[in-house]
Amino acid sequence: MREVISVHVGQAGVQIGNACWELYTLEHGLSLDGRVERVVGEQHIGHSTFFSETGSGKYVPRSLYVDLEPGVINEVKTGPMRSLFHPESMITGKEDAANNYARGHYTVGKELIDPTMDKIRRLADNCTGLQGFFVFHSFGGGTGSGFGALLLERLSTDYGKKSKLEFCVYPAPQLSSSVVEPYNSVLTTHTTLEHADCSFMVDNEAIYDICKNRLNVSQPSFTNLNRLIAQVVSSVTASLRFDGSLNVDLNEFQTNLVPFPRIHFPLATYAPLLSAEKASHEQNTVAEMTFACFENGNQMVKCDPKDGKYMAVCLLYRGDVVPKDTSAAVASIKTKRTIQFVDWCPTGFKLGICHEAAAVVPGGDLAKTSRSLCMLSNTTAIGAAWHRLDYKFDLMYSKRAFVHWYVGEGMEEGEFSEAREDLAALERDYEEVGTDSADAEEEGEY
Amino acid sequence: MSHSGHTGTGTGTGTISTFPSLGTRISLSGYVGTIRYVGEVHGTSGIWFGVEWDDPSRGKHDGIKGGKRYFSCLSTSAGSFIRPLPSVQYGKTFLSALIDKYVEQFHGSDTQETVILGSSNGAIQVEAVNLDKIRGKFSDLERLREISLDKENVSGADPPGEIRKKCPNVKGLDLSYSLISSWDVIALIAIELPSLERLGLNNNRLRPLSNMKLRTNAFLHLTELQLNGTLMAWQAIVDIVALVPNLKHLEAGYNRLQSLTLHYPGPMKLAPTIINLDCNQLSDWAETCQALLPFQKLDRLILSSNSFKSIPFPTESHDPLGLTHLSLSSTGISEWSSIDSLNLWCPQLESLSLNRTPLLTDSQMSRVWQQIVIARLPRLRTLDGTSISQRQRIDAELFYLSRIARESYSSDAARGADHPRWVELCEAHGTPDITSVTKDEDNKLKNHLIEIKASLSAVSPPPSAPEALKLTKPVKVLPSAPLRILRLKLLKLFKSPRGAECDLWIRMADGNLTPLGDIAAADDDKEIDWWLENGSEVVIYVKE
Repeated sequence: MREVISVHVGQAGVQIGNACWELYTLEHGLSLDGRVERVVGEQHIGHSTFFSETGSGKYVPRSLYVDLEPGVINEVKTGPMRSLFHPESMITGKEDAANNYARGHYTVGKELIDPTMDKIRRLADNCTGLQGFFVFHSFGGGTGSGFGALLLERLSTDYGKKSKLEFCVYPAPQLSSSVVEPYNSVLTTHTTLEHADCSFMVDNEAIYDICKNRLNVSQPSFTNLNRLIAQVVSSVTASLRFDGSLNVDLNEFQTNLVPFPRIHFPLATYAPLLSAEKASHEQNTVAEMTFACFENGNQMVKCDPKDGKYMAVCLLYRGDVVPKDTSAAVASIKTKRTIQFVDWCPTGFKLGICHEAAAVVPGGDLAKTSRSLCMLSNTTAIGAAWHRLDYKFDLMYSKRAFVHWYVGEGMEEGEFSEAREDLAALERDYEEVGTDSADAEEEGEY
Repeated sequence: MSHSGHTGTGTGTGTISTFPSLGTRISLSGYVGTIRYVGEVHGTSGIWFGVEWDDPSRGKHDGIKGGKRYFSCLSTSAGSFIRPLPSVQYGKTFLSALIDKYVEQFHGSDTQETVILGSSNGAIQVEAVNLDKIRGKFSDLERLREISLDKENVSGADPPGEIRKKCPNVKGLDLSYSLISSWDVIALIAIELPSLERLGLNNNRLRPLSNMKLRTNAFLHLTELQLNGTLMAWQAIVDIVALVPNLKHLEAGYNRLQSLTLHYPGPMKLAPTIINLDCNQLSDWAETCQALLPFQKLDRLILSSNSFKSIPFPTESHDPLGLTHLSLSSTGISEWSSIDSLNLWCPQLESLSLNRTPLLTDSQMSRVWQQIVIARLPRLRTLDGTSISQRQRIDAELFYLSRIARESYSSDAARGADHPRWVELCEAHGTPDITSVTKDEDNKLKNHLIEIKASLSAVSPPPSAPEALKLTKPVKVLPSAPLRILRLKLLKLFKSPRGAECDLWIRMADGNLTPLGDIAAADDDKEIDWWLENGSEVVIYVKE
């Protein structure tokens, strides 16, 4: 079978994990303690990629929760999903990373990495054909950035051939817990750049704005954000969990979406984003959803796709979507500006359908719809996100502000400049892939 | 589609045998309408169809032509006359629409399926991977669970037994924007689908159910029903809901409902637990609540985008509702007393949405409204989709108490009337000191400034006569500023060089000038209110 192991690191990783597994159980017709409540299609194949079945017929997530401090995971252990997870699949330390990459990566993190790798080994031994890993973590937090990077390094050593995909949370000023988030983000990106095969970024600011402006949540909390993130994660993983037409293999994500190893940050876009309280009035047609994904406002990272060029696109339709509607929608799409592809790319544009509709959490903010679309696009527009991050990093680093906290944990200052240079190179890479190989053609019309 | 297509609608006999009967739904180049008149129109020859369009902007009048009324429309200018052209579509049966949509010709696996992306100047090819697999799944109609035939021109049911044979496992069905003209057709379709749980009928125009035999068992397993934009009156909606014994979730938004009054008494017990009345025109809160009493298990009520202005306190004759979630987003609620009265109307309320109400958009309240709402509603656990922690609740209540304490009231009764939870909160958190604190505005720095008159003298010591001083300007200073600052300020005022040395004099009560401050005695660090008060006169001489 083609199993996938999900590792959730740090507060953000764990809380997104909760939202994801809650949604997965709903979509697979399982109760919150892992028992089958209703049979979903012929999906017993799908169950086994993300769940393992116990002798008693209970389904247990192939997941691991890791946090350097016990608080967040203790909430899971006492919360409504306590009997879903295997108790062994939650690891906590005693001392937190205090928003410090260096603590997560070096001093505190190194205590916990070996037990973590042991647990992963045990989960992997339980698989007959492990495809790879999904690692969930934040860029801003100490555990997420530091320990997350450490974990990816070790996964890359121990499981070099397996795919390693990330879901990472890009920091936002509205929900910031510390000023050093830009440092942690740059450091973790630098460390993981060569270890992760494909990283799906979600920008808390973009998610926050969607919750506030589209879903009628006047002051979104992490719960609201994480539910929306889980919806996107569920759509990305749907083709692995259900029998669809595209991406039945984790490897294919990379082959489809990653033209160069470093350019591995696809932008996720989701439609429809409708408030649960709105009466369903307008029809949510395949054409409208497709259009929405190419225009501004549905992106999970703050950037303007019109500024960039696409290198690869996957349209993942879900639910009651028939092939002829998708072909018609794609062929007749009318965006305000011409959709641009990099000219050196032969064709990196695919569409697929998974005919199991997305579920929504009862009482959540998002309306349940019979169709949805998740677009994954590798676009040069996402370079703007790196630029923003680097700018914030430079503001502080020019004065060496807060650097002593990292040095105090045994980190060398050189790692800062090294990481920053790497990110600058990444920004340049994005610019470079966007330039046409023969830049003779005049830029667009007005 | 030929004329014969409408024979399956079961709408009875037409007025003229070859033409559709009144009430038949038609579609013409994407616009959907209802035939209200068939016949000649004065001053022209031949047959016309008088059509009431669903989209009023498609019409031209409301059925009056040349001063004569041929038919009438719900909205003015939704009607027009059209010729019975071949392009007028009368729709198809359920099964033919189902097959048209879901059974596609297979592409065959030899070549990759590609589509040229629109808006790309024909430059981008989209690969559609392995869609034949999906086609195979969809064309296996028997296994379909969710189907949507919205905008697919369904107008009629198929002969009894046919639908059940083809797709018996359908659980969710969307028949929005269809050409079905009556509830009888809906019931004929629904009765064929024994597992049907969810039914969407948005933007249809349906005549009431007439076939008594279908009344009892057509909608037995239905739990979710969407009737948005159908323009059904509340009476008609209640009549249908009464036929659905297991209904949980009812949506009736965009129906232009102005009131929920019934013309004849409905059943005393209705099943739905969730009712969505988004985007109607309801304005009378008390009447709305009374009309919803038969929904005994009502738990979530969405009244967003209605016209409520305020929520009055209930009187003796009003019964409370048992709901736990209420949405009043985008309504006109603008008074805090409306929030207090919610406590009495909905004593079990745990979750409330108030987004985009005037209450929040008030500029003074935009930051604190959440605390005030939380403090006023003791059982609230979620506000605008965000959950409230115990700590937030305590913070909010303390904040609310301190706010009340700063307002001045003539009596405790008056305060109690404005803030019903005052006594209760005082018992829980202790009574705050009630002080009529001066308003924040009085405490601004600028209100502490004193104004003095400053003059520049060309000679030292300056002449004591005020007229002899050539330049006099008013200047505002903080009385707590040291003399050094005043010196700098005056130098700047008279545009003297920054480091220049200068001497100061002050005019005494007798009109004479006395030197001000002694640098040697460290007077420069003394605060200037040692010497100066509002209206004092100061003379400065700048040394070359």
